[in-house]
Amino acid sequence: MSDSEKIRRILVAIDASAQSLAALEIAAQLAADLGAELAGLYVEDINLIRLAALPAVLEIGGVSARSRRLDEHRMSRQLRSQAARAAKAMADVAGRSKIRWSFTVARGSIETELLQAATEADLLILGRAGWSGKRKLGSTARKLIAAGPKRTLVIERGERRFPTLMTVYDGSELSQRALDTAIGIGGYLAVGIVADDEEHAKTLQREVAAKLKSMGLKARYRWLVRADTRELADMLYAQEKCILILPGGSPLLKGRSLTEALEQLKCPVLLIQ
Amino acid sequence: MPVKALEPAQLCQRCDPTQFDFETTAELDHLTDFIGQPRAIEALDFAVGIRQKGYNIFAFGPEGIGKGNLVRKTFEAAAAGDPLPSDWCYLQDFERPHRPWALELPAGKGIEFKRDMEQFVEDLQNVLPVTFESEEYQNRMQEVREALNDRQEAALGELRAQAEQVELAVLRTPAGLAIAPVSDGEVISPEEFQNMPPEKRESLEKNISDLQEQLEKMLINLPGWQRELREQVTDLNREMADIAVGGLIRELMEKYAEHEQIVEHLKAVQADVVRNVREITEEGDPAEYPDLPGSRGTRAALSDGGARSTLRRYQVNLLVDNASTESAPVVYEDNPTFQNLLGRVEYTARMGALSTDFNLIKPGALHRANGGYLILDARKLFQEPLAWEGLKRALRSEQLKMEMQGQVQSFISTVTLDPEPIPLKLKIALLGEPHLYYLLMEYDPESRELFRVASDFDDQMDRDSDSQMLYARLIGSLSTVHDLRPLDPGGVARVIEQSSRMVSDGKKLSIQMNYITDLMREADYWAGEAGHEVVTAEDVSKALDAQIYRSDRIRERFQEEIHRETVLIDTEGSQVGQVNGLAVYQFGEFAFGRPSRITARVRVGKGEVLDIEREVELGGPIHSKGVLILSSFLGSRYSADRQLSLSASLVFEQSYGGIEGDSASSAELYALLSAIADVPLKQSLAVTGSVNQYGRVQAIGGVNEKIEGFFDICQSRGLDGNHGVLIPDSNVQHLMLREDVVQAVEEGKFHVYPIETIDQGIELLTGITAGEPDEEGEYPEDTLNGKVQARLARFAEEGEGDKSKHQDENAEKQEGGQNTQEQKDES
Repeated sequence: MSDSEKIRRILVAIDASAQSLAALEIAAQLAADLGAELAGLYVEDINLIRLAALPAVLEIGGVSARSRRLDEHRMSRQLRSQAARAAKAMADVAGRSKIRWSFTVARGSIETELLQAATEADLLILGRAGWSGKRKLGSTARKLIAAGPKRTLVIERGERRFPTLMTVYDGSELSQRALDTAIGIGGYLAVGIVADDEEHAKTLQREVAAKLKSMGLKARYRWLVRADTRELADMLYAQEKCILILPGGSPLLKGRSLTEALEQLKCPVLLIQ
Repeated sequence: MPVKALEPAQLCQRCDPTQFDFETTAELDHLTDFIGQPRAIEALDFAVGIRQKGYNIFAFGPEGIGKGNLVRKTFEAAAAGDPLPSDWCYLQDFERPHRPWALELPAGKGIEFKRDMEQFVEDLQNVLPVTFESEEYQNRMQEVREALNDRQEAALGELRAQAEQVELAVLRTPAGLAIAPVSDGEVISPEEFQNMPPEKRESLEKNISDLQEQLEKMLINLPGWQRELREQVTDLNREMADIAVGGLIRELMEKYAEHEQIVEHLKAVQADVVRNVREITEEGDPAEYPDLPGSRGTRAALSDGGARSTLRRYQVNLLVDNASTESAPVVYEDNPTFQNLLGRVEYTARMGALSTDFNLIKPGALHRANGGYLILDARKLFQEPLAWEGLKRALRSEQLKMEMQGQVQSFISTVTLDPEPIPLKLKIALLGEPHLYYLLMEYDPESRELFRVASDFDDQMDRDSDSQMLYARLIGSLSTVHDLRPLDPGGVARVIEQSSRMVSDGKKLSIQMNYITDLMREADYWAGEAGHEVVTAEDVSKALDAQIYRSDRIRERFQEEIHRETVLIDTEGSQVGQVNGLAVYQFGEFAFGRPSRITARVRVGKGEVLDIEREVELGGPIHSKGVLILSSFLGSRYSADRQLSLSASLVFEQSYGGIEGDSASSAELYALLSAIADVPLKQSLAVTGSVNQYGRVQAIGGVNEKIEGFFDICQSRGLDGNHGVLIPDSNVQHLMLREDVVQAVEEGKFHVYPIETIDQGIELLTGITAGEPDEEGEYPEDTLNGKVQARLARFAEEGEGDKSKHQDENAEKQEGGQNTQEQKDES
């Protein structure tokens, strides 16, 4: 494992939604496990502030369905109070986990600010969806993944830090990085081998096994014959609940976008790009 | 003819050990029957035999007579032939949770059903989670949820697409959604907006407001959609639960197919499980079933009581379990409180509030004895508040209705139960002392209807050679039962004598077996101390002496006071108007006799005998009655044809407590006669006996203690052959005197005289012939009666003169002088 794969700083985006609070929990656990620093970031969305200044725009209550006039002042106040809640959640969780942590509030475009901050982090943790609470990937997550930070862990509400890690290996550089990351995090390991024929699959398995052996580790293996995300999902289902470490350019995706793949997989996914 | 003193043999109805032809009681057959209670036994047999309502038993007799034993044995014998009573369970009524219903099952079925339902609850906890974890359920649930998501997404997506066409975007704000104009994915700034050409700005504004309107409409629909989702989820949950629980219920229904009520109950259980599947599955970790409805917060709050209290509903409260019963039950309830009799509903405190359910219904003695027999102690029962009324209510209605005591008295008003009554059929025996029975019949007429059979226990039985042999067997049985040494014939005889002494009657035997057993235990102890293999007469006597010694401190103090002449009692010489009466003192179980000096003074008066005890309210009514009889006797015998011009006063000297009873009335009469006739009475004799208007001496109680009380004083002062006691002739049969008294009589040092009439007694006391009246009712002058008559005649004359004194004052001196003169003459 190259030293560059070591996770020293974890960035977690918090917007005080239930999803992001779940992400915060796992982030804190991971940080505690890895001895990493946890950096919390709340972004005051510049779009919302602009929106509030537009005279024609009304806010329609998510539950009440009532229209309300917006103004900059009110919007700022709302964002500030969200930031305060995020900060409190951060302090609570980090305090419980006894980890090094920091919390920053930035103003600007969410994606820009997060990507900016992500350059200084080894791992970015996101809730799958923000305030919309839908199964599908939220707009922010979608854009961020597309922008391609090194490592992004996408988490859904209700998920926990599962002890088993699973990754797919095809011999590519990204899949090697994924394997390194898995080793770095540590835990029970399951490896799905992506290969055209059985011979190749065995070769790849030997590669992985050799690498693991040198670290004194073992893993379970499975040859993903069909090599598509559905098969991956089957393998996941057969596993105990786990975190999937997915290399971004994996042939598994068969040219589909990462975000589409994510929507099919019902587990925390750590994307390696 | 002078009265002859009693022979030693008459003083104690001895039991001759030689009549017993055994070495020790160990040889005797065990006596299993009860002796001496034919009346009580017949009543019990009758009551047990008759099956009608109200034929319950009140068994009464003295304490320690063995009532409980006899009743229990009678009941047990009857119970052996009775059918096994049913099991009773309480079950939840799902329609009316406050009214658990009662289920009757054949003996032994109850526990089986209870276990089956326990197993059901356990299985339920396994089966439901498995069902809800199944792929089928998970996928169907996903389907339902995604249908809603899709609906929302579709609506929102459509809106987004429309917005995009006109360069607008749907944005999420902290509190909802908003439509904003965008360019390159960013909301345009206000300046940009302001700088737009007016036409473009207007059309943008119009588009925005159109879309806002649509968004509003869509959001208004959301709650309705979510409600639909919840309904679908609930339906799905119920469907799955029905499938899961159906299998379990079917098995049980087949097993209990012949019990229609159980089948109905099982159906209700199934429906209830389906209805409450959410609460039941909360038992497990809620996070494992995230798709089940119900927020986590609610689950956490309920997880303590919620699921468990739901599952408790399906349990069986087996109130009466006759699985291991072999015959109809015979129950003795030692503590007959209201709740111990009629059962109770217990409460548990949950978060400061009292709550209960049918599982907390506890049976009472009536439940346990239902179909059998119940024995209660009447005194304890009457001392318990409400218990008697509760018992009567149950017996009258023939129903066991659970009423909470606190509720009856309105102490508590909280969630409570009204369990279905259980039919009651049993036979009850109350045990108590006779006065309790009589009081009850007097003051509670209703009890006559409910306790129609009185079983009257005697405390004594006739004594003859047959019954003595029976008694010997009883003693033998008792010593075996209580693991004591066997008794030899002498020991048995001594116990029998004591038994007669206990009932103060030489012709009777006591059947108060607790006292006899105590005596035997103590005799066994002394036999052990003396190293005897068998209990002998000596050991029994030792036990009796020790008993007396342990309790006779007060008697000793009384005697000591007499010796030190603090209390004045003469035992020699003669005195006018003074006689030794005899009183009995009872302290606990120990009774003893003590002489008491009675004195009488007389003078001219209006024919009244003044009872000083009565005047100061120290004398009881019976004592006063005795004294009034005396004046009647005096008047009619000696002064039939003229005014009784006597004024006499009677007193118990140095008596500071109350006096009751008429057993001293003969003594008082002797003192009066002595005072009137001015003839001294021998102080070496003591007197007991009541007297009637004709001068006949009548029986009294405690004769043995009285004789012994005087004997003890005389013996310690030295017996000289003159000492003795006058007792009513009719009391001779009651004599069971101590051995030392009998011994003294044998040696001629002490005498017991049986007296029938006052004349016999006064002759003994004065040594002067009483005298018979002639045809005109006049007694010879030198007889005692003659002297009495003469004195009374003089009083009468003086009395006449006394009246004229008021008319002629001169006469006063003369009469006074005459009176003085007469007194001189007489002394």
